[in-house]
Amino acid sequence: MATLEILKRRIDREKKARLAAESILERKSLELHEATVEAQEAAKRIHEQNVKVQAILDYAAEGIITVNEKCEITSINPAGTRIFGYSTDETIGKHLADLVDGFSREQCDALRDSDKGILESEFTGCRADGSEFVLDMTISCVNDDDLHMMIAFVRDRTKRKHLESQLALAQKMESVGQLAAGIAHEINTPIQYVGDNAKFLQDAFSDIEALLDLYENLSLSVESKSDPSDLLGKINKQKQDADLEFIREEVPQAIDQAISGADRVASIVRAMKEFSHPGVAQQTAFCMNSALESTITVSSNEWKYIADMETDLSKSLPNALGFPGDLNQAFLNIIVNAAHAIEKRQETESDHKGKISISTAHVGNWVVVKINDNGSGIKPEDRARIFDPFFTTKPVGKGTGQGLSITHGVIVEKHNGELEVDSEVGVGTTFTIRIPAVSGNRTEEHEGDSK
Amino acid sequence: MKGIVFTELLELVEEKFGYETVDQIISAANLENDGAFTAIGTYDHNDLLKMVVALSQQVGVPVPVLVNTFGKHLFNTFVKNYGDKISGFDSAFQLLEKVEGFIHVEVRKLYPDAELPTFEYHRPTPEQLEVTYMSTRPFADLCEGLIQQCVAHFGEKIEIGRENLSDDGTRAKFTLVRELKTAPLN
Repeated sequence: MATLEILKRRIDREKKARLAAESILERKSLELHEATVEAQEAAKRIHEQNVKVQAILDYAAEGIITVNEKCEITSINPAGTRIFGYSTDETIGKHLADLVDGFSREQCDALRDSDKGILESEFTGCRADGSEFVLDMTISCVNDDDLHMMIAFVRDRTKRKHLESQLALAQKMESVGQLAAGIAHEINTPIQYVGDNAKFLQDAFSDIEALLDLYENLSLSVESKSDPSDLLGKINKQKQDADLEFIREEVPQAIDQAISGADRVASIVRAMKEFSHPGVAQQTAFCMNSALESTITVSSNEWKYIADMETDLSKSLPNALGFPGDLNQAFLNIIVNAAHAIEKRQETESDHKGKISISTAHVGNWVVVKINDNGSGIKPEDRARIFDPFFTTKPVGKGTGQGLSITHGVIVEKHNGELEVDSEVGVGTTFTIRIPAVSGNRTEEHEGDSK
Repeated sequence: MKGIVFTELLELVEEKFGYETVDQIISAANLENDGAFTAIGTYDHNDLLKMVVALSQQVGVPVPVLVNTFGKHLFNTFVKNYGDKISGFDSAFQLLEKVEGFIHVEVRKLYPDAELPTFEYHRPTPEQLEVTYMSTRPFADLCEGLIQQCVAHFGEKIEIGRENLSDDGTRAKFTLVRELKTAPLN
């Protein structure tokens, strides 16, 4: 009986345990179902995100390239294949430097090890057909625990470059237009004294021609042994009428002045031609002093009634490397601003003698240009903004706020140069421009020590 | 505590002392669920202690010895149920060192609410392993039985030392020293 009771209790325990197990299983089944539904929804969300990410990659206008730690391409989107002209299969496994000239393996390593992990710069792209083009590339490192790669965003700048060059040319032509009245005036003065001297020479020749006729008659009279006294009287009278002494003194001067005037016109026209030249597509070695002299010449009407121009251009300056046409525009903007600053100061200090000083020097690997004026100076609160597009302190109609913005773009971005401004209100402003020198020529000087 | 520990204890008691003893210790322990345990359930560990105490009184064997014996039995159960996983290990050191970082991780996948002890490891030399047991429950004896059976399972000659880090059996350090194999003399 006792054994039966024990077995009964055991059966009861087993039944209760079974019910408990069934209840647990039921609850677990429900949890599993809910987890499955949740997993399905998560999978759906992940799929939707994948579709979205894929669409972004497929339809992005920029080329998006991923590279591994060895800088080998692991993926490229359709825009990337269009930009470089390679198929996806042809691209995978290539080194990024094969597509982007100038992006070295060393740069790749340095970027991976750097704290910032982002590089943004202009490079030369190499298409499958061998052609080259300008591209902007932003490349960033992904350094997660399980994921190490780099993502490059590539923009083809061919069209933008073309538009930029057209815009730069338009801006230059605008400057030429604005300078035209002043240049016309500059040319008018020498042309006027060329004309006056030519008129004087014409009159002088008319008098001399009559005298020459009398000398010819005298010659014939001497040959025919006739009496020359009458002719000699006429000659003396004509000499007196023509004022031969005066002609002999003045004609050489008139000729010199005419030649000088013609030279002046020629130099203005030459400077104008140089200034308005559409420019070169590639960087070229050029003489910075000549570029400055051309700009000073074409802009002379902008400053000559306001200030004296002093130049101290180094004789031992190496050629600079860059785009002289664009730099002419940059120098013009600074010189015109200098003249405006002096004019502004003269509004309150009428006897202030304006002065613009331009010097050049060779310092390190730079050709350094300093343009100084003793104008009104730049207020400290404006200094940080002077290179911003459309920022101007000039009255309506006098400035568009584009000049120094373009200047900054030309010097810093286009030439990888440096542009510094040092200004004091009521004292003046100095712009220091540094442009890469063509290496390996001429003697180096100290900055501010040009001779 | 997971139900398998309870059901295995009762299995062991029945195997060693008979079903009457199982019935007696359940009655003596005065359990809330009357001893209706299922392997997939989760129960209060005090119920286990109550049953072990009752068993001790019933059979006259000290509680630590019973718990230690149960630990050995439990390891054999694990070998029976999870032999394919355990066969992946070549030595006791290898298996014991994976309890925290692998076995407990797998347990939590199946039972997210499982309250597992934690282990810390230290290898002073290649032939020495220190395993520190830490739990909210006083089962250092159970742990010792598991370790002893683990060593026996791999057939290794390992000396096991024990240092209690608490008086209540919740913390203990086990030092395992493997006997160096010496090359036979020619």
